[in-house]
Amino acid sequence: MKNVLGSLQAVRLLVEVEIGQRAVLLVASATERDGAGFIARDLADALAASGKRVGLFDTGATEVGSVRTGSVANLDEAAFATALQSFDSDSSGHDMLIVLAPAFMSNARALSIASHAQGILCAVRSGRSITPEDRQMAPFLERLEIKKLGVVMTPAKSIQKMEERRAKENPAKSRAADSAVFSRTKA
Amino acid sequence: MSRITTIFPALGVFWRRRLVFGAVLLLGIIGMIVVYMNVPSQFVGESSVGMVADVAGGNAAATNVVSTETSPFVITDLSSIATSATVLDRFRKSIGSHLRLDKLKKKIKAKVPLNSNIMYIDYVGDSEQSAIDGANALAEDTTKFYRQIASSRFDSLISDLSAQMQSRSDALHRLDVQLQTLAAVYPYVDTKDDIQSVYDRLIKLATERTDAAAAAAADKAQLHISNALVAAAKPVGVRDVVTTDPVYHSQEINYARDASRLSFSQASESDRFPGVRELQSIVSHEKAGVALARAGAQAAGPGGNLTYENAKEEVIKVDAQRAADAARLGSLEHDLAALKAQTVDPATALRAAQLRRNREALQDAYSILVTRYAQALADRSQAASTGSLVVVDRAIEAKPNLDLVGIVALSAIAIITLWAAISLAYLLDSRDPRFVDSETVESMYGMPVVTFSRA
Repeated sequence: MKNVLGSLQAVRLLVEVEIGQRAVLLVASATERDGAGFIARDLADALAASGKRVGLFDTGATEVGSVRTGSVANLDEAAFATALQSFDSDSSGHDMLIVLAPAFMSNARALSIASHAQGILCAVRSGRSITPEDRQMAPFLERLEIKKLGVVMTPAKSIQKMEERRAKENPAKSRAADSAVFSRTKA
Repeated sequence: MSRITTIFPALGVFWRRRLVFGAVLLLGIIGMIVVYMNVPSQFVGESSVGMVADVAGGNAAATNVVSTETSPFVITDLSSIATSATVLDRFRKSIGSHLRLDKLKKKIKAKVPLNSNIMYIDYVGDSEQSAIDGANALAEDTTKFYRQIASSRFDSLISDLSAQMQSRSDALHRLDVQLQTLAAVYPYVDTKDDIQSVYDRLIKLATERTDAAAAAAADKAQLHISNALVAAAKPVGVRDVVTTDPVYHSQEINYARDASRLSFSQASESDRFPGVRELQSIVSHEKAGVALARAGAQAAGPGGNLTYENAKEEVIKVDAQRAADAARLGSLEHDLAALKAQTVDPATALRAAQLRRNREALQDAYSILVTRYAQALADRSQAASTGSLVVVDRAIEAKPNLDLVGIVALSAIAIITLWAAISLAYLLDSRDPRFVDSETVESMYGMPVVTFSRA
């Protein structure tokens, strides 16, 4: 976990510099199991450790594990819209919203979700085969008028280790929860 | 921590294809081992030599390795000396090899480490023992040649002095032969005397001759006197013999008494007195007897008379002395005649004197050469021992060594293996349809890879 946080410190700084103090960041991947969920949570941990209040949203249908302060839930479009409206009105108390969008290219709502974000960070599992979705990522991202922060590569073994570690740390919360928004604040 | 492929893409390829890369390298190593096991075996022995100021008791371990400033050469020159044609030729004879020098040279490696006075000598042999023997023999030959070079500046001087000494010695021998020949013909001319000594000897002989002649004349006079004494002593001796004879003395007394009685009877008696005639007859007979005894004594001579005998002995002694002096006189006259014969040829004496003077001059020159020769030998010895080269360590073991063919074969295998491993790694990596490096991701997503996250 420490390694992951250490690796994402640069990403945290990049996010703070590129998209400002109050923004919506989209963490996406072309296919599933690219580690986008872990990166989103780790990045949320890193930002929370730096004193920010971070909200994490999962727009996909895949259960991606747990975080220390709450579960990740699949959100429907309405819930997302509500959460987004709450964030915009500053009633949620969050400084930053991280929206998790795994299987980005296979999700019909991806373009709609991305239009609400100020920046996008992609995740790629190192060593996996290149798919047609990967080949469509570049032209798709070009159409988005948001900050393209970059790609975080994660080895398959690291993803597997992170899954095992999270399951071991909090097995009860590994299931999907009903909560739409999970807050991350500094401990 | 960023992945190494983001920094060194080439190394990243090898890392990603490490199994193939390692397998090819392993195959290459196996091939190299096979080649190594099958190439002809060779061994290399190593000895070392060092520059020292002095050789303490011939023990190289006790020597002091010193600066090369005390040596006529710097240490780095030694490798050239060790592989010089002269040393190689001697080395070839030492090990009984028939190799050409250029080929022999390829089996030798002499190296001097930086800031060191030690030179290491490697020799490649076909067996362990030959490698050890070769390394040691080369070290010995190198040190010998080095000492020869160090002392060579004295060699020409010593050689020249030796030649001059030989020349002088031959000349001395020739002079000695001439002097000996001269002395054989003229015994009084030896190698030591000069003409003055001959004259001195002549004068001495003449003096001795005069003395001997005087002695001979004295002996002759003495003999004459002695003979006269013998003649004078003879009648006295006879008379002494007669008078000292008791028979004669008794006869003479009887004769005298009877003659006296006869005179008395004739004076008092006539001739007719009966006793006178008988007494006359007795006196007559006694007179005849005395006369006969006297005649017999005279006829017997003075033998036994001490005076006479002493006179005769004196004659004999004087005669013997005379004979001896006469003989000595004759000898002196002979020597004198011979010496006079020498003195009548002054050229011979002058020649002998000249020869002797030449010999003395030659002897002096020879002595000077001997002194210089000894000094040159001492200087050469000192030069050979100062700043010399000694064997510091002898080879006692030999290590396996590859020949040129083996090295080429192993090098070729190594190069081919490395080339194959690199090529195969790049080929496989270029045909891999996976996200294996950041470049592929960046080209696919149009965004930079900001980090490589690990668990």
